[in-house]
Amino acid sequence: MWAPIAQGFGTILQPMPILFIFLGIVAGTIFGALPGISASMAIALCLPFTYKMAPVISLAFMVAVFCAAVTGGGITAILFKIPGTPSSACTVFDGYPLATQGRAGEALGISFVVSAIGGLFSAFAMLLISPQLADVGLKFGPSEMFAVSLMGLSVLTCLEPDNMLKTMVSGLFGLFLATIGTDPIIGNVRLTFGFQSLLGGLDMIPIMIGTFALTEVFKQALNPNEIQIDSKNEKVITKMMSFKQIYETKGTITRSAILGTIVGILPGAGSTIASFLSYVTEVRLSKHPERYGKGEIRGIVASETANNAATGGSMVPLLSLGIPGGNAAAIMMSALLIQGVQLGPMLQKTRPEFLTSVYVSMIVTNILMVFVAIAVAAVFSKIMKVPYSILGSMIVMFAIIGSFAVKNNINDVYTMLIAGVIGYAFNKYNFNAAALILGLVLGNICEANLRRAIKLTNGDIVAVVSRPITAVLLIFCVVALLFPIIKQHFFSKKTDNLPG
Amino acid sequence: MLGELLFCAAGVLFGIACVANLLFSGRVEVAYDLLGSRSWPMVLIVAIIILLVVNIVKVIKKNGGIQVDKTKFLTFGMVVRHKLLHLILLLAIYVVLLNQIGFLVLTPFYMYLNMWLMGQKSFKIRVIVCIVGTIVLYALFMKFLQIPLPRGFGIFRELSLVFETL
Repeated sequence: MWAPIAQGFGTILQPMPILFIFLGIVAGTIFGALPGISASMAIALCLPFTYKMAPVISLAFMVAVFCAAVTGGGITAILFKIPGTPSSACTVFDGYPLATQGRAGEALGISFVVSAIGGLFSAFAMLLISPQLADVGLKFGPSEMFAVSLMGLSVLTCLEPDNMLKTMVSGLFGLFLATIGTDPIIGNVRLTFGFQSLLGGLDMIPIMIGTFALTEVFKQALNPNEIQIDSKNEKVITKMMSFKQIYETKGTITRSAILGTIVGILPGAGSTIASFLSYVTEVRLSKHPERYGKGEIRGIVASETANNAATGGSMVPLLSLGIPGGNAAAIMMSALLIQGVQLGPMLQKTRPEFLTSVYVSMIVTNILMVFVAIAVAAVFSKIMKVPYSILGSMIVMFAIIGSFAVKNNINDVYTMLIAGVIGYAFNKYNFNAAALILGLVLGNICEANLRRAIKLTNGDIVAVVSRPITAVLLIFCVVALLFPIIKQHFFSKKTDNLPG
Repeated sequence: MLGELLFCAAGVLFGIACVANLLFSGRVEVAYDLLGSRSWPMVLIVAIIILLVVNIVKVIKKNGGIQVDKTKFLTFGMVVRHKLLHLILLLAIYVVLLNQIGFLVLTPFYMYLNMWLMGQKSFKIRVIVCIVGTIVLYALFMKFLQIPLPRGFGIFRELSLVFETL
């Protein structure tokens, strides 16, 4: 076991691999910070550079781009309320409020440090127990995936306990938006109202950009007072997370790292789901859930630790089983196939050092990434001092290009514009945009896996819900979903009985 | 209050339209797909409609009926002068024209007007930012990242192609 690990360190800790990892981190962080360029798109953009590299170095380079892009997405999420990648959407919830309180540097520092911790945790976990983890991942069939997505949705009742009705409407609306287009099982067209452009469904990125970035521009344009708060900000200097803060959030870091790694292993899940599940778990477990969404550092910790931990997890099915768990892994796989490397179980037997080299490159990436991200954030944070009339216009332009770049389709820009208007109305009438995005992210997974599970058991719903992992997860969901409602009911009764 | 009621009512109407669409559009039944493609969205939209109606009732009860505060009621003149509507309208026009006129020609005009609407008073800054901003965005996405931006049609397309060869 230790010989391949030592060999992996020997392969990666050489000048050329380190140089390419560094370049990959720089490219990944910048691409990740640019709205509309997802982690998989960043890898695709860097793909041509890998053709002349040795297989191990090319994979290390792509892994560096992948990990850094996920981290980079948090920079614009915190500074401008634009999630650079979908996986940093949760970072917006608490990162941006911290930035408006003049604590952008602190939020960035926390984001980078916990990103590195999440990435390092998953890389070490992969290095030591990837075959075993791959087996765990394979035990998750459609019914378990349905239960996992339902677990994510169970947070709807506690996101805003005082505003449960509107939060539920928002979450259900997100789930509903995910059903528009061609259905995932039989290809039936639903709710397109005759618009050809809706056949492929609504993309998540334009909706996220519209709901967060465009809504914020509208709000800022109408409330110059809030603009004043931003323009008063002194120079934003990334303030590294202190050991005390790490210690205080150790529970959140540990839970998010474990959850992120496991979710990353599950095919089709990935960083976005990992960060949402981790965030909702923390809201659920917190003694003060009302603090989330208003600048709670645990919110950033949960989101950024989990999405980076998922990057390591997503390498497991790719390297151990030859199954790409997501778009990014599929692009990496195709790049290696071009070079004649066949990923899968045989790779573990024939070239174990190849796998360990990849995990070692992840460790190196996550350490170097913190410093590169600080430098990139310094450049981006200078933009914060620009007057909002200019900054707002640039944000709108980035929102437009970011939405257009997803599929080079103008309809995505229309979607972004409509999402921005609806997001503004949501904000004005106290509906919950975060719940809407949660529903949108989990909607397709939830429906597709439920229908697949029912299909596999020939319509026997009892068989679907009675699988051991599914049953445990569903019981947890029911308890988590009903607990706040029951708590609120009894609490309100108690207060009603109070004198005066 | 009235704004929220109207928003919820619009949501209910949208929901009803979706229910009608699900009920009356072409049905595809497949034996192995027992749940069918319509059940899931139908459950969701019906739940949304019910919750929105509950919210409408709740808002009306809370305010002791539908009360219209005439001092806060938007007049036609106020609507015409509303800054948010101007921003949305400008953005909508820009997006509609983007495919026809192209990014390179249209963007400076949009950025200039958007900055003006958002309160940038200096004419010089507006002109400089709209030109430099467009060039920077064009160079970053089109040249460096090779992400194609809308070129427009006819003469606008020719113009964009000329810039691409530079």
